Amino acid sequence: MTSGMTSRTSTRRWAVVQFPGSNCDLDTFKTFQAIAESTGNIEVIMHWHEEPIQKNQYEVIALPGGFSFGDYLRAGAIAKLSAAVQNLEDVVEAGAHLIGICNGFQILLEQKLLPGYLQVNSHLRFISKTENVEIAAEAFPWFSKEDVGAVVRYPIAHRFGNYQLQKIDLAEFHPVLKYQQNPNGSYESTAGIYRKLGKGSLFGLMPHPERAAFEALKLADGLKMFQRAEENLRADRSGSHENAVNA
Amino acid sequence: MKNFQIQIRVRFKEGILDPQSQAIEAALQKLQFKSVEKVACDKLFMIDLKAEDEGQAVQLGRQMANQLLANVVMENFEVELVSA
Repeated sequence: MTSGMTSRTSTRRWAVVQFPGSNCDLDTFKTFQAIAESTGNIEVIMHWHEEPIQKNQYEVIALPGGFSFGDYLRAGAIAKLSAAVQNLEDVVEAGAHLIGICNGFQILLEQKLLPGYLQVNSHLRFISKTENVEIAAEAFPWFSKEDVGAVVRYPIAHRFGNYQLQKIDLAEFHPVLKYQQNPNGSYESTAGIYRKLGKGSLFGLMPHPERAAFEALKLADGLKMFQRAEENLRADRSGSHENAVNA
Repeated sequence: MKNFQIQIRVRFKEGILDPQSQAIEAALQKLQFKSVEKVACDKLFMIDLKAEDEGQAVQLGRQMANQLLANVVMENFEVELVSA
């Protein structure tokens, strides 16, 4: 048992934080599992929101979509108080790559880890459809230089997805996803925003790549994004390992 | 410690896009309230609490608004003492 535990130290851990009212937690978990099955050394963990997250505990952390705590007060306002969300800034600075999808994005905005706010959609409707979204910038580990300019199809499903930004520092925050046909009134059609922070990163987006991750759905563009992240992180790890060996 | 009631009013900041208020404004116009010029939908929280004095009751209300009840990126708030 002991040697088994030791051999797992190289295992990479990808976590999905589960809140009461999350409803894309399993979609995200299954997508992570598909990535894990193809690479072999990723452990996928469902992390209950009441448990704090430690530095270097996870390589990738997803805050999933849904209606955490019923979206009472404001979407994400109550979830930001959960133990798992409290020290995310430190966890990211230490090297975790955090992705907040839909409700997860709303939580990151409430926690003020990303700029701006999400208002009700401009036409006041809940929108559930698949949108064409352009990858507008490089964002390690999610999008590489060669992905920039590509148009992908991701589903959206939200009422509060009208992303408004004022005076952001474009050196720190990067709008990396743009709707081709702005469905909800978002500022400059922004669908996702990215921030490099310390050794890690934060990525908040309204579209759902985890709902576009299986060929059976005839929609697998989202899987490519997670595959890209896995490849880039693996290359980064072997690079830093070589550096450590060479040093 | 004494009993107090405070009210916390939360409102979108000036210039914040507010489609809900715009829709209500348009509906009032449709009802021929032609003199309506602007609508703001506020959230009002009535909170009963214990505090040492009025000042502390209001101070606690401000902390509640800052930490949870308002998102100060897009909302302002006012705290008032309702009853002591």
